[in-house]
Amino acid sequence: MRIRHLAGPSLLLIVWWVATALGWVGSDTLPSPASVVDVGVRLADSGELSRALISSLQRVLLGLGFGVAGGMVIAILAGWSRIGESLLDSTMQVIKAVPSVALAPLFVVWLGIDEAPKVLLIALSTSMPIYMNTYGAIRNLDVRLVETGRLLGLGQREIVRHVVVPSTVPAFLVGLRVSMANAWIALIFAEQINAENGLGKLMSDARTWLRLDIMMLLLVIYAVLGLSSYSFVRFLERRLLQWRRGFAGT
Amino acid sequence: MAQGIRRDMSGLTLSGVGRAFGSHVVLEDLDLQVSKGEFVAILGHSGCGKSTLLRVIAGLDDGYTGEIEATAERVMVFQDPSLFPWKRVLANVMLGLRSADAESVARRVLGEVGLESHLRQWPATLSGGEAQRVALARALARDPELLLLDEPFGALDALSRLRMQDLLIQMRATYRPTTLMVTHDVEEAIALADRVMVLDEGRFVFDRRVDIASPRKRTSPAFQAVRADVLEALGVSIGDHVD
Repeated sequence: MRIRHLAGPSLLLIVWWVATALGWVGSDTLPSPASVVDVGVRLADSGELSRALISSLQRVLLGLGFGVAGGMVIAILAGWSRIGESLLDSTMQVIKAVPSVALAPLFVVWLGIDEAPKVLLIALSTSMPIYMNTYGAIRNLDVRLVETGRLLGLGQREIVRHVVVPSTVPAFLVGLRVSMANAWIALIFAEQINAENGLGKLMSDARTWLRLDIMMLLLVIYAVLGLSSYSFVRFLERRLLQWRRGFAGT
Repeated sequence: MAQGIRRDMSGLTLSGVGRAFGSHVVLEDLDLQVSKGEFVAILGHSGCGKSTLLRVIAGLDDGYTGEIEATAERVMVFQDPSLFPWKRVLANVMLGLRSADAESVARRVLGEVGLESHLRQWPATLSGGEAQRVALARALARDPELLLLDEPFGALDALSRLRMQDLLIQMRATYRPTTLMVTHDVEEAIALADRVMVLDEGRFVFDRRVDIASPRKRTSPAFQAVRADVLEALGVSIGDHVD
């Protein structure tokens, strides 16, 4: 991430700091950045923060892994074959029409209160953007390129590997951005419903005791995690999309 | 399927080939015999079925009737170079080459079309003429027995088009594939082909050998005579034709 991408978030931080330092807002409404850092250090020292962070990250990575892989595979199956399309696409549209958070209570009934329902919720809400974008990209693939692949003697699998999959990468990365944002939202939701550990558990405890400083700390952590996943996707875009000459802005 | 592939067969044979889309007949009872190494140019108005014919021969369209005898070693170059944008120039040419020396073959052919310094470039950074040269190199790297060209230079500017025509003449001297080219450009057809045919409403209405020694001067009387005949077959009288 380049320095100029940090300009906006830094400005936000400065406004927060000035507003609390000058007493524009009381500390019972918005704690100062200093007190948030303070509570962050204490939670980090006690190991509570890293434990919460690790279990949350595990859930997100696992859910994202399943979601991305699942979305990609279903998109290729539905995009490549007509039978796949009639079986899968309408099914995916039905699933998409149901908000995944509405399924959470059902997952708890089916799968208990352990990791499974949380990971499944994250997987479900991350698979959909990947599926939609990748499937759309396959449907938009220039048929001439597939024909060229055939004429060059490529078999079905080689065409999928050298033609279909690479053509979906730009759209896939757009989907990945959305998926990563969804992953954190699904995580927060899943953990606040019930969890013995994780960032969401810290958050619901903080709410119970009205600890605004901890709540602010967690919001900052969520923001940092969100920004890092965004810069991760940008990194992937730079690596994987060298071949594209897109409009870079004025 | 009616399509036969005979290894010892030379060239290309069509017998009674037809293609219809619903009730719309695009190709009707076509017979064509192209001998090995021969270069046939097919001219015709838009919608006369030229491209459909090439697609049928290429094996991209199997909804035809009649019989086609063609080698399996055939490649096609389209008007649009159809390079894979996510592969560099060299990888585009190497794709699908199975031999152990695929890379050296690809490098050699790219050298022959004058692109040895562009091997690592992405297709998006090439000019139209360069991209079409890569497409030609990709086709010839397979050392095809049958080369199908669907208006290969139709999208190029006049100067690149002339250069590509010269390049094609040179490359044919090396690879000697049987070649079937569809084009809109009468002069291009006469300059390159051993035989010029005109397709009209799904039937061949003109078939003539071009016995002009190379290099073929476009201003020579022999060239102009063939041109007049072809234009007549196309229904364009010379007085109306504006160059």
